[in-house]
Amino acid sequence: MAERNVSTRRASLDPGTSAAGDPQGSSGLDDQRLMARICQGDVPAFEALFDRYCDLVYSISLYIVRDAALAEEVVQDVFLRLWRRPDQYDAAHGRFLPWLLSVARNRAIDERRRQGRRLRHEEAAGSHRQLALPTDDAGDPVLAALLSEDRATVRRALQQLPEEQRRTIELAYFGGFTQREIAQALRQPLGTVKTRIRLGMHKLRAALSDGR
Amino acid sequence: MNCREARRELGASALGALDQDTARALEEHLAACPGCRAEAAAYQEATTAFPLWLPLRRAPAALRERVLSAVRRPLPHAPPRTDEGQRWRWALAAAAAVVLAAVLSWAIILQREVNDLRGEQRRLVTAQATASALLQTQAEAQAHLEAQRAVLLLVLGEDVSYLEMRGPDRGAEAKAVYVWSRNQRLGVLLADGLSAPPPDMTYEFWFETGEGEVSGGTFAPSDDGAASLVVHPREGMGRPRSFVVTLEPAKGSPEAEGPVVLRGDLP
Repeated sequence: MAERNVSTRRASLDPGTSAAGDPQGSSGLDDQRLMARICQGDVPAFEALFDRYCDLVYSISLYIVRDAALAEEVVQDVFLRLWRRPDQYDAAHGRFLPWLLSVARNRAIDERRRQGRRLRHEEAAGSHRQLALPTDDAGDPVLAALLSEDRATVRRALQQLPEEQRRTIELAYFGGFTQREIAQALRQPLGTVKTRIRLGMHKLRAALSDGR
Repeated sequence: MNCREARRELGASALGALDQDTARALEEHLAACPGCRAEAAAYQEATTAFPLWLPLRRAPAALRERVLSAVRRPLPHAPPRTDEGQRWRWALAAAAAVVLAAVLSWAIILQREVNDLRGEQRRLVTAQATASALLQTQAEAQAHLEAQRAVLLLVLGEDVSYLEMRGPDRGAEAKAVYVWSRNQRLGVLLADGLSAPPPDMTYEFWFETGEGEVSGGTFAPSDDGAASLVVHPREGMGRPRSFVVTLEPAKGSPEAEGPVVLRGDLP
């Protein structure tokens, strides 16, 4: 049974452990203990961490780069970098999974920029693709079940936002664009974009911290 | 930046959506304000839930095998792939290893030269003209050492790339290699066969991008024609198509107007 971060009802990313077992017991360890083993070159520990989070890393990479082959490259790069340089994660600076997803997001945004993708007006305005609210997934049913309560919290938080605030935040976070770039692409005043981000993030922060 | 102004930027900061100047000003404020730092941490925490926004997709099974094969295999870890990009990266990695071996030897030789020069400087401190000449040589040697250290940082990184640069005329003696890491935002130019620039002139390194040339810095060769330059690519610069060295006025130039001495075109 997976461990959960039950100290708050805040949306979190701590599924903790996977349900699969292994002879050396890596799958039953929390993320930080797995990382400590990975620092010692423990391959089963790395496998456990990879199996635990590769779908999440793949999902965020695929959404950002919009190409399955590139998304696979990002996943490979992120996890091989984690294997070669586990010291780059410092537990004193925060939980492992947010760090991992931040690394994945940044790597995917870099790859997107390397592919020369600029934010076009049509894409920014939403005619290309809209970010749908999370629904049923094609991914790992175990992980999906573990995250279901957190995803419901995020869904409720997102539903509170006006569409333009949600879209602007999505462009900034998943696109890696600055407020100025978003304003130019949307052909909106910079002040309007700043206000949407400020108000939207204020609401999300309140909703996600309260678990509402 | 005061607290009111800072708190208006915290949401955008957590998204990474601030421009450089605002981000820098906010960073300075947060370093001195624990209250705003706590607020910033709360916004950052909120963004950790954003990936839950997305539909969860299962990664291909073959990806798992590729990654785990690379982990189980001794260095180099990358799994065999057949695409041209991977072959090109391995060729660069092999070339970078050769460069590293040469650079390490050069670093040891230069370190000895610097130590020798330091001793010589102390002995000749009262001879002003000679001391000035030695200071110049030491500064050049220190610049070379800085370049060697930068190369070591690069080749220890994960995404080192390497491009040879040649003179415009066939048979030109001048040649160089530019070694860089996009992730580390660091590059090193190692040149050889350069003649001394005319008085009041200097060599300048440029990135040629779609939006024009961006300077990477100026440098002068030592007496033996060797030169090195540590380059910190400007943030927000467009993707370069070529690296170029030109001859410019001594204090540098806002644009590449002088003759091209070395050139390397990215594929």
